[in-house]
Amino acid sequence: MIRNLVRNVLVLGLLSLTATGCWDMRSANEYVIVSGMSVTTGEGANYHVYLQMINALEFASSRATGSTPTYSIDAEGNTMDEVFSRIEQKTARKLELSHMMLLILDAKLLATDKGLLFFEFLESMKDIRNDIQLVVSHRVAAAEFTKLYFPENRVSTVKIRMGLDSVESNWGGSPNTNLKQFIAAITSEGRQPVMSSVTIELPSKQQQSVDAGKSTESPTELVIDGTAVMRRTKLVGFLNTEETRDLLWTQDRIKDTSLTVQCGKDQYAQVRIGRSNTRLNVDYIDNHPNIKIRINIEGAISENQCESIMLSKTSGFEQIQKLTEKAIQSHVEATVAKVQKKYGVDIFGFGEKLMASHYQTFKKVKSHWDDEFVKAKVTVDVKAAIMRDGMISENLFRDIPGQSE
Amino acid sequence: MKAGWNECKQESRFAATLCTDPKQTLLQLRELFGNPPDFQSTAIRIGSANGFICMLKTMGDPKTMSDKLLVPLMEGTAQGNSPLQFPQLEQMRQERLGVLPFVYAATIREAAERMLAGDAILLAEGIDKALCIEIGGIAARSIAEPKSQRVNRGSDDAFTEAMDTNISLIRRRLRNPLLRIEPFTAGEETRTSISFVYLENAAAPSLVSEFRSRLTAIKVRAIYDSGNVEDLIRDKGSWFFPTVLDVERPDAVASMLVEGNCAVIVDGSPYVLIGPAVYGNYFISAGDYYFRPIFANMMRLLRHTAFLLSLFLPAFYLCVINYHSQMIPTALLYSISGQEQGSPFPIGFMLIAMTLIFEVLREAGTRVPKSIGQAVPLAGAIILGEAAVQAGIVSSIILIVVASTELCGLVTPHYEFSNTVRIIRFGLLLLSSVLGIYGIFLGLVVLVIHLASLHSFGVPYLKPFAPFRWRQQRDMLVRFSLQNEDSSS
Repeated sequence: MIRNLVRNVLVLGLLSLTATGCWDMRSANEYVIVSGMSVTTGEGANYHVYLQMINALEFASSRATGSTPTYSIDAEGNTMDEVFSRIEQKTARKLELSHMMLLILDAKLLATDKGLLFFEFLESMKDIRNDIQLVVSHRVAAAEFTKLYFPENRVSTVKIRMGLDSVESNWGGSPNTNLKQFIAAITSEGRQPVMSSVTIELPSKQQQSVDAGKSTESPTELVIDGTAVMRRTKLVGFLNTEETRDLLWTQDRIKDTSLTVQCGKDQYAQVRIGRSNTRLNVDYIDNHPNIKIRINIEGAISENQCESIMLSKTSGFEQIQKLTEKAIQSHVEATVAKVQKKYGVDIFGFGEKLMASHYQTFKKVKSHWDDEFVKAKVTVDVKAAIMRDGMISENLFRDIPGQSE
Repeated sequence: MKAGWNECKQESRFAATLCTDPKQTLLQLRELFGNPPDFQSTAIRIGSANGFICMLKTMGDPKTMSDKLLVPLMEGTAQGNSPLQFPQLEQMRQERLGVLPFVYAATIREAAERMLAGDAILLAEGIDKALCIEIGGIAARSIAEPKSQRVNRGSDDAFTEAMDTNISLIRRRLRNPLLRIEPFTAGEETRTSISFVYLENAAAPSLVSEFRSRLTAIKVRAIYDSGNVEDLIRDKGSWFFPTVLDVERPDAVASMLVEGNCAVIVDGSPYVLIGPAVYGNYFISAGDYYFRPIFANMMRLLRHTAFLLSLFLPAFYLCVINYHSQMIPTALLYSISGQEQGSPFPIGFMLIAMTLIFEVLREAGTRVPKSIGQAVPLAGAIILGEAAVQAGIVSSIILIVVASTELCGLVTPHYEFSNTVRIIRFGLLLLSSVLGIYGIFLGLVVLVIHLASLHSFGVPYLKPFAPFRWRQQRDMLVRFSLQNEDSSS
């Protein structure tokens, strides 16, 4: 029996040599880990790529010497693979691309037709994960992001990636898009793609050095500042974070956010929204797309500056509820109108909704859906349920002598 | 080469009936033993006849012999010189020696064997038989705590080298007349006693006869330990996995007997063999039954997990680092990659080298004289590991992997199973260094096929998991809590 077993193992082992083997092996000191990539157009070639590399020695606590944890290496090339091999010549090591977290695209690249070819490359490249986040650099060159150092999170691209997740889930200010979602949007007939946009406030040379960690004053900040609106692979403009939240509201992607509503002259109330649910309804009335957005939210009042609103009574809650509903409604309507007028692209995916509910209608307009979208009549209907407020119902300033009446 | 004892026995002078002259018989015995210094003989008078008492003073206590035998026999001796008749001797034995265990040997051969068993031989004039009386009192280790199968709660006595003590330890726990003990003798030169123990109402008759035939079939020159017997009666088929359980705890043996297993006790070995033994048995500790089930179950699952970890962890680490770096969390990869930067040897080589060093340390720990104690292996492990990391030869993560692997391997309650893991681990390491994770799965497949093909005394090795037996799950991977048995059913 054992002889049989041994023979079988040997045969299987030999067979498997044809399928895989040592030549796939890369030991950990043969490659260099890439954490992020910035792509822009080259001076003399199609692409100019900046890779942020990990100086892995700095991440092994026993061997760290205080030198830079990341460094940026760039190269130009007509194809991405050419760029990678040029960079490999500079690093003298293989690139480990599978742990890349962030892809920063320069606005310059997205202004040309080269963007399309670039996405084609990304989709076919097997080393890059398809959940890599795509962002557009806003106001600064994409290359800058790979050169920054922040003491609290030493790899700047990882910091951006974590910032994206946190901004989307805690405030709703970033339409996080990974490669898979982006490709799906690009190829969809009823939707145009978006990406998060990131920028650097007050870029400085100081932040490109490990010494940035020695100063308590750092003017340079990474900011996730909204949405990049695309027409297929071309960039057409940006939305700010408030408008991004309205965009996410139509997508039913708001998890948690905080809304400021005005309730008097220079007086505001803050509503913390903990649950939100959006339903879209798209159909055709009089040759115009008729879009109905129903938003149901639940929230609590976290701050109330208004003397006129008394939270000890239900009427106070009703007042705030009305204000909240109105605020959300006007914001969302304004944002949709802005996209309709200014950019003319359906980044909301209303076309996809129409395709799902009225396919025959959509079939007639799918070739020029964006033009139809511009003509669309949009109504927003918000239903707010404000349940709670803070620890005290009575405003404190009523109790301060000499303040009231 | 001279003929062995087995052939000598056949010679006519040893097989013939004893002669009635005790002097002659004594001479024959002395000649057979080669007149050794521990052959003690004295002339005595029994009633009115002359006689001799002889024994090997190394096999029985001479003081016990004189107290129990010599003093009563010498009482009321009469003058004269008339040979005894057999009924007279028997009457004397009944009156004076009472309940001392005895046997009559008719040949030199039998008498010699009784002497080797520790009996005193009484030869009397006129009688053609030798009265063999059991003396005992031979020096033996007292009952001590178990050495390798310790539990936190439960009895603290373990088997010793003396078979009678061992049987007594089992009998004390199974006060049941149906406990069957069958004697066997094996080893042509050593004539080692073996007892085959089972509970008649619990053990299947087919299993009992299988055991009996395997024990009868033993034909070797020498047996020194139950390990020799285990090697002879186990199911052949695996180089790695034990199919007989070695137990040094009487409570564990008793419970296995009640469950219908059979036990083999070998004289001179504190480990009792139990069969059939399946995969799950090796993860059960006697202590499991004395704790609350929830805790015992947690421990049992932990042992299974630790076993798998100690089998696969180094191989898995190796293949993930070398072939599948995308499987590691990013932050961990940064750290691992940093530690591996500039290390002079490939990871696979270092893993195997470190594992070997740990094996050497373990072996040194067993061999080191007790007076030096545990200091050597412990200091060796700490100093070597620390120094190797400091010198930049190995990364600390390799040290973590190797050390946790060794630790996990020691969790199994049965030591021989952790030896199994040590060997298979190397095979998996080689497979994974050549074929990556594909190699590990190949190894896993071969391992499972191999385990499924094994049997222990006719029982599939993976029972009750494969073949799946729902009712037997009550006490294998998990242990259900005890219930009072329903008397009506």
